[in-house]
Amino acid sequence: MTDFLNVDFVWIVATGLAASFLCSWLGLHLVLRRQAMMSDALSHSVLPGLVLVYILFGSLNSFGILLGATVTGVVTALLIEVLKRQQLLKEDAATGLVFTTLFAIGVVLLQVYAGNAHIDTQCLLYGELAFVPLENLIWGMPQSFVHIGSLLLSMGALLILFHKELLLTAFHEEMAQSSGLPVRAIQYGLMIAVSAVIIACFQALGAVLVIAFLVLPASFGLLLSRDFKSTLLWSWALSLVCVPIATWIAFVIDNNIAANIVALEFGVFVVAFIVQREIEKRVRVRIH
Amino acid sequence: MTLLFESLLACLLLGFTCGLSGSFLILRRQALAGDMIGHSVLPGICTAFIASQFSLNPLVLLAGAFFGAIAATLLQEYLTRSSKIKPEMALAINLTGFYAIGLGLLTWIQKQPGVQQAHLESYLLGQAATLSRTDLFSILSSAVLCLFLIVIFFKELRVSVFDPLFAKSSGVSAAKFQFLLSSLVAVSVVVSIKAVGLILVSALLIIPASTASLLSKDLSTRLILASILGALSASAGAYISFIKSNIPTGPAIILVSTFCFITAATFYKLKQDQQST
Repeated sequence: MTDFLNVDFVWIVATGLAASFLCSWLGLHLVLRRQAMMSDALSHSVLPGLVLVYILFGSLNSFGILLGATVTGVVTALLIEVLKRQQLLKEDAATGLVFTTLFAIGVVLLQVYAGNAHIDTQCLLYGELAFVPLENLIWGMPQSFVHIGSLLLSMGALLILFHKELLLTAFHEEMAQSSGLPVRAIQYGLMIAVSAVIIACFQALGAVLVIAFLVLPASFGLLLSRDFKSTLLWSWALSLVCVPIATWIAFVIDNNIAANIVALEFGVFVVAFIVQREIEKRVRVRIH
Repeated sequence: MTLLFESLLACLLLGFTCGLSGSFLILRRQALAGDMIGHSVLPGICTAFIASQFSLNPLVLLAGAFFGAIAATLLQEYLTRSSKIKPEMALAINLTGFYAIGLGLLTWIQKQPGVQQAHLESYLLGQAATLSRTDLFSILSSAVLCLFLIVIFFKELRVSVFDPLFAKSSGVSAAKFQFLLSSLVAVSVVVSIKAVGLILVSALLIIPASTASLLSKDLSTRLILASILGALSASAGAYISFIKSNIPTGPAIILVSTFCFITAATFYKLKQDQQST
């Protein structure tokens, strides 16, 4: 068992945890705004932006992440809004139409420029945390860890700075508007932030599993608590327990690490949900 | 029949089926439920493949896929019973949860020595060329089944979609027809994933139905238009991916149907402007 506790294991767990902390923080804001499915939409619609960044720069650097995220976050949110505002479609259909179309464009771009871009559909759909230790090193640390870690620090600072504004626009949009807050700018900023996180995490987690990192721990936190801080702490606690255990299991059975993390968190969530419903039922019986 | 002809026929039929069930889905504002069901078939397929000791029989895999879709639908219904979990949260949780389990199983299968993988990979983005004669027959029967159920229960479905409260008071059980609708969607998704891919199958439910919703306000006209548009764009997309072999079928179909939507939306807006001036 001790041979798993090597440097690779430590870097993988560290990257997984950093991604998890970052995603659940942003994800909680998404979930509170009832935009959980925007994580699904953005995780697919970043693809064309990502492919363009790879074609332009040949690899992923911090500037590329920011550029790709800004373009895709804004374009996705803007297209959905136009379809809604022009009364062409309802929100759900507009979301579904925009992200699938952008993803399809991304796949076609990827196939046509496959030679130039060092990403393939495999890596996009699966993601592989196991490759983190094999990446180029920046200051002696794997590339993914540096990207995700620096985003965690910068995004964390922004989230603390705009905490009140984010919550106010989520729960009392009209009041926020009347008190002069730039409601739309905050919404678009959040979309850009989520896209940046998705792009930074996609190599390690894949396009679909990053949705789970955004939504699952946040929902688990909301099951157990109602105020923002303790919800966030609960969701971090879930990651803190699940990421090392699932990584270890994946090492032992030689499986995809991110998929194991998400499957374990999903299992814990469903069990917590069932337990909570049973407790609620019993309390209700006792009251009557 | 040639392979090309068979595959195009299969895509034509599944586009038809998805157009029909998708029309009801967008009317109920549950367009993204198709995406959740699409992703949730992966563990079903992989479990069926493992349980049947790596059988290549398409019917076994279809049964597994259908089982996965139904399990996800039931869990979705269960999770939204709590006020703490909102429908869109439950959709995102189910979508990735099921997908992660499927991905774990798929990784395990790929590491088994000497296992023929039955093109399991092509389930992700879809490849119409992998459709077999059995697939064609299951697609045909699902199209007939969907059409049959919709014709028989047309009145009840229409009432439960447009006016659930009235439906309840007039004795039509909304829950029953919601389940019928979910099953129709599950059937359409399950037969389509091999050709369109599970990532993009929701688009085939949403886009042709959305285009049809711009062209007519009447439900039966919409259904006819959506099924025709679905059939045409699916077969046209499949044809494109046959000529240009580096473009997977799913994305090709989506781009064709989005093109139809943009054209329809432009005409819709032009007509609106004319009427207002």
